[in-house]
Amino acid sequence: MIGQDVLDAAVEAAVVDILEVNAFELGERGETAPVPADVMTARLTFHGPQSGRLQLWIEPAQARAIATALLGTDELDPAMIADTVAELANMIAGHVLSRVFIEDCIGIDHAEVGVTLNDSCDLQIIGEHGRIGIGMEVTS
Amino acid sequence: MRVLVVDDSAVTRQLIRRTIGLSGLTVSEVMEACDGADAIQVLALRGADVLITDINMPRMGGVELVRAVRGDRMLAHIPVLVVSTDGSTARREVMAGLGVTGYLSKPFRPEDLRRHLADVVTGGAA
Repeated sequence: MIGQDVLDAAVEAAVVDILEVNAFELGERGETAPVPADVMTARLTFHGPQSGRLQLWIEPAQARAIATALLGTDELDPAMIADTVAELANMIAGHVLSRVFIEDCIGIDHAEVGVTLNDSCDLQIIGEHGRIGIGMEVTS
Repeated sequence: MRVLVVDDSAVTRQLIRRTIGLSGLTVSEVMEACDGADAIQVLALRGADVLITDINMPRMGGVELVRAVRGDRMLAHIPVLVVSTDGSTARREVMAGLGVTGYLSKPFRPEDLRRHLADVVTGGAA
């Protein structure tokens, strides 16, 4: 079983890379802070030789900034921002799994957004427009 | 050139559409499908010159889509570029075995997509 510290390091690298490539932003790991009241959330599961789940929350301003950078417009409806959050979860999971389990074909299910999080998501990345909290675990 | 973009994320479809639009490549039409099953319908009705597809999608994923395209006499010639979060060696080998023409991992820079698409169109390396 992969160590949680290895997984967390891969998650951190994934989020920083995604912010840089897709949002032209610098991100860095921050101290674990209380989750703000008004956040967007997403959750997905993955399965195959390795199974588990990823959950995240993101401050709305950060989600909007990523969507704006991806789509090249700031005229965004809520559905597009929600889809961006789902795709962010998908990209983080794929980025991590592709690098930690490079020899495995792992299926990633479509991310649900607006979910109630039941993990702490203590790994927090500070972007230029807000925080992102992520929790990822491999269960088998 | 007519391109079909297959991804369950509307944001990613729009990102790819925008990137193609800015690429300088001669693309007359960008069509969209939200999964493999949807893509099969679009291909049957309208055809395409290039297929860009994700892997993990509901109903029918990219593996099944590529398998169906390669197994169809009328569609088998279409170059396929995979754009996916799954960049594992194992997945790349599976898709190469199915005959995909190129493979690009998300997140990608616009110039990465442009280069891969140009390679696919000109028959360059996967």
